[in-house]
Amino acid sequence: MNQSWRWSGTGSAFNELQDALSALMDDWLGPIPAGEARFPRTELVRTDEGYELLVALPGTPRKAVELSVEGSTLMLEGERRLEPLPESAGLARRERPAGRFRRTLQLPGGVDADRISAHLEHGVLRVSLPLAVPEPEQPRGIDIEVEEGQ
Amino acid sequence: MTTATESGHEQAVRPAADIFETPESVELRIDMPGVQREDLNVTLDADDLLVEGRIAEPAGTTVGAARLPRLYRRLFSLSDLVSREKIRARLRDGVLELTLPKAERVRPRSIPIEGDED
Repeated sequence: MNQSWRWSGTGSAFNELQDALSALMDDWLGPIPAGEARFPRTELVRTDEGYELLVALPGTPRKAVELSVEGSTLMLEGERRLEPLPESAGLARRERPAGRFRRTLQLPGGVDADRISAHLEHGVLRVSLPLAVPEPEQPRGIDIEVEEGQ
Repeated sequence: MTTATESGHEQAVRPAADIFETPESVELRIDMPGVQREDLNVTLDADDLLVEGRIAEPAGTTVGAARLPRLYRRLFSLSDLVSREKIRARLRDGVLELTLPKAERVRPRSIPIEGDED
């Protein structure tokens, strides 16, 4: 299995983390794992039909995400905006990543770029990358030339 | 905390959360992409508000090291100013929204001082 596919492109604009803890609430379990800083998180899965690319985009509407393919390059672009706070609100803590993101992926060999499809549900974008189905071999007649006469 | 499974490497990930306060409530917004309602648990035990969400293993084999979490877990400790009764939870597009109404505050009141006039 080819391990060399890598997302490349700009990283995320990580929202400034405000360390001030709310007076009403404290929180126990240590810092966020480092992986969370890489936004959006992705996973590439080999399936029976080809590949599926998973991109974690919580709270992001479909219209805020653009997916395109050029040659063998898949490009994902978009922006996650966090809902504005109510005017009366005091912010205690902001950890959730947001901002613009742009990633490109070199498609694995054999992927049929014309049949790529994508679906955003429960905050995860699923990009289906099916492999090209080989044309079935058609039996074909072979003309046999017979030299008439001799 | 790690939960062993068939795959052997299911590690609970602490979901990123925003916390803010309004005059009436404390609001939490917790990123749990991929979690569906039936796989979400929010439980309150005394002061401990535990949020847990599970995501089904994808149908296939993961290529490379990048993975989405399979299990989110985070514990919030509530203070006495938050009402335990009317906590509301909504899950939308992989974001869990929790509204924790503040308890009725005891209003400051003046206490008469008794004593002799003069």
